[in-house]
Amino acid sequence: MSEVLDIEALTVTYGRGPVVRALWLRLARGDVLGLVGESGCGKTTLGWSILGLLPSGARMDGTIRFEGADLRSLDGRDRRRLLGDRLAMIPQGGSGALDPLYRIGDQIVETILAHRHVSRSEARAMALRQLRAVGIPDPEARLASYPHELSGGMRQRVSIATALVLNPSLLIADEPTSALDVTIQAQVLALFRDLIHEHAGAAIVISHDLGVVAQLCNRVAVMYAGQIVEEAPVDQLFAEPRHPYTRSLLAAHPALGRRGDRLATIPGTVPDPASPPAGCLFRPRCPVAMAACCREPPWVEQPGGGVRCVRHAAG
Amino acid sequence: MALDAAPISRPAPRPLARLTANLTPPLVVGLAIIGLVLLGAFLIPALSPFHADQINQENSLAGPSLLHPLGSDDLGRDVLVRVMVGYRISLAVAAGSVLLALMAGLPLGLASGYLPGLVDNLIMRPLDVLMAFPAILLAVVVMAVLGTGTVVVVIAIGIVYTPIIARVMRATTLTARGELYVEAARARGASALRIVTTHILPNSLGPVIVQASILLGFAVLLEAALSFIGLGVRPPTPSLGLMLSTERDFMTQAPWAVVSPGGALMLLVLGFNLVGDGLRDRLDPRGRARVR
Amino acid sequence: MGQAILTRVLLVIPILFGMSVVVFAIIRLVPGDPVAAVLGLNATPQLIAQTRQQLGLDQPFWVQYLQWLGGILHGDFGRDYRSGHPIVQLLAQTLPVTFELVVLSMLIAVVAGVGLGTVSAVWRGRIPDRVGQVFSTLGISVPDFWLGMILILGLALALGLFPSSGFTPLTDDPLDNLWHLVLPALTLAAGLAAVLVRITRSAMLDVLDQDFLRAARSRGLSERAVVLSHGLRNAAVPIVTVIGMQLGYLFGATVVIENVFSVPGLGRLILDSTLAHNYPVIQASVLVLGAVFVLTNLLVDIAYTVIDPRVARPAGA
Repeated sequence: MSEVLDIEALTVTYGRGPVVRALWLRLARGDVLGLVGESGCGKTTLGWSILGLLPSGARMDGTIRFEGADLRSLDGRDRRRLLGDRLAMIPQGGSGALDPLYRIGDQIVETILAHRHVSRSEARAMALRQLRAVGIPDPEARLASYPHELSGGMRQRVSIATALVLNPSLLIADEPTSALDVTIQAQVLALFRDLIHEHAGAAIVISHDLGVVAQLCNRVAVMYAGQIVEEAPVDQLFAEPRHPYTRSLLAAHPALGRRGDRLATIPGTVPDPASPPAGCLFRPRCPVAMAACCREPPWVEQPGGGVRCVRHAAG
Repeated sequence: MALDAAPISRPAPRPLARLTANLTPPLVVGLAIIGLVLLGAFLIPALSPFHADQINQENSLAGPSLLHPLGSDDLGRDVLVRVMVGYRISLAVAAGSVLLALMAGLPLGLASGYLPGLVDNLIMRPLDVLMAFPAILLAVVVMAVLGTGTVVVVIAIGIVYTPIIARVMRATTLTARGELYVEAARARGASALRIVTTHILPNSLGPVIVQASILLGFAVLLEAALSFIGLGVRPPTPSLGLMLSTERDFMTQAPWAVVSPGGALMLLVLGFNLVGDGLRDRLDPRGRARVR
Repeated sequence: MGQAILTRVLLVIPILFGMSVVVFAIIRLVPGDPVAAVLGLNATPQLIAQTRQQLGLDQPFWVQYLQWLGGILHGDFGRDYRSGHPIVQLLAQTLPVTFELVVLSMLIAVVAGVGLGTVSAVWRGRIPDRVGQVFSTLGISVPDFWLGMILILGLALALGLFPSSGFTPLTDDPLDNLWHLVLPALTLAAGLAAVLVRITRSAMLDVLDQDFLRAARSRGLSERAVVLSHGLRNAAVPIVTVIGMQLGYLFGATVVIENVFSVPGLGRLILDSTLAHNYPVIQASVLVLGAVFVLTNLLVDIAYTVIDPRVARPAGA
């Protein structure tokens, strides 16, 4: 199994405290990993830190290896060579990812020309093919459209097309469907699932929506307060959630929570990064917390993943 | 969430309280400059042994010395004292013209913002025409009609700035008028006068103060420019612009007589601009670079 | 595209019309007898009466106005009663000079102001940013005519780099013409450049924070493409707005700056005729300078539609 991404002890700090805490994550070719958690848990920050595009003032520790190369030791030029080519991102809220002053076609062509020695017309042909692949009607005409002339769903498709046009070995998609209407969401999801397998070596899908993850991914990592608290194959996570936080998340999801029950909410709020609780970070909100939770919980390896909770530690 | 519990009342803007709580560096430096200028303008001419108009031909164009810290001009008058007396003119004209613009612009802006349609058009279309003139050009037109002199300069600059104040007032009135608490007050049957005095004016205070402080600086520059070209304050009143225009002929022999009044002007304008910047950051975060 | 531009063009017409009314009113508002003022102290009563009739002052206000406006629309601005020349000749001589001066200052201001502003935003909080802040704060506060005098003192008289005053027509010797306009153009440009540093910096900082800029970086574009093609182009909308607002300042300031450098332009004509109470010339020159400003401003507004497709091609159109 060839490793696409290997993150070791990644800590990202900015603003009031650490947003990502000593995080470990591995991704193999063919993996589609869902990264789920409440907003503010650090999943988007994790995505951008892989690309090395954190806001100024952010501090990063740990290592990120992409296809064996240490990303953090690359200089700007070598990093840019990877971005948009072998390592691509679909940023959150797809519509904001497009420059309002440039035609759709120009933005895709510009990306292609930054990485491939092809002529402008060849690049245009590639762009056209990709727009067709993401199901944009009348792609020829759309190349000359400005972003504000397209619907949200179409813009999201353009973002997907742009990210996949050079067949990246790793795709990071941040909330790829959250800005869309429910009906369009289903269309885009179905399309996206096929495209990932066709065009990308591996993918990380960042989402707060477990339903999206269930449809797209084969593995899931649950993030809480900058840590991964549980990781498992997707079926297993839904069938047999181990971490109390994962259980609360599932119970709070309208489609996945048990029918007939009142939709559960998770009491309390995400801890302040500046003053996290001692021991398990979820302890203040955990329905089954006990005295042992005041100590740092160990990472317990499980088949296909693991869980960060004392209840699953040996004994 | 209990929607009906949300209070529909005016959020109390207290610009003065916020002002003292948030003295930013530009505000402090700006206020310090203006304070020093005021102090100098009133103390130095009083304490100096020389009078601003005291001619001393033997001392013509003398360089800076202990007796004349900024040198003397072509007629041997003390440049420092004249600059300080010039400050009085600058400040008086600036304050007078901005006051005039406020007195005319606030009611006009309020009326046009509060009464959309005919009244708004009757007021704003002529003001748009005045604003279409470059500021100096409009001032020149007024001076061409009314002649020169300190009072005329105040009137001219006041006319130039009236549409600017009116626009700011109109914009804030329009915004406030659409707010929920004003609608609610109207629904309760509050009178127009009451709505204006208790809801609209307090909310407009911030942007108007910011605009006025910026205009003060530009009024100083405009007065100096008009006096410099002979369309402003009349000699022998020692306006800074007028001093620059007379001493210009002796620029090579006595650069100090040219450098000091101009530097003094710049310092005062800098003070007003810093205060304007500081106030804008606090009171009108949306307004940016609405200058000149 | 046509719609947005057409609306803007039509909006200019009432403004120009209003301007002409204001300018025409000058001569009627002057206290005392404007004809006596125009002709000077030595005019005989007979000449005054004759001129009064020629000027049409014996007719009702609106008749006078329509006659005057009708003449202007036919290119007839009347006669300068002092020199006897047609006023249109004076305008034709002076307007190109002022226009060249304004265009030159604008170029200098945009290059310097937008350049320094962009550098300030990209190197936010570092030395270039500090330099930009100091420059813009001082540049906005400096009296321009005084800056002109200091430039003459330093660069022209002390160092002899540029001529201190005077003018050579562009058609006579283009190089010498530029040579004479360098200092006045720099003087005029300083204030505008200072304002542009500020607005460019803040517009760029806004844009640099936008999602689509980070997205552009995530596509592996060069830093130059990110900052210039995507950043600055998006910042251009507020920058162009401010340029439009400041144009009026530039045109107005020629009245003062042409005096400092003895440039024989329209600003100089306005000042000289105002000082001499030469009302027909004041009216014509003020109207022309005002109209040129309004029309240039219109061009700036049209420039929006080129920069921003959302204005030119609104969604759903």
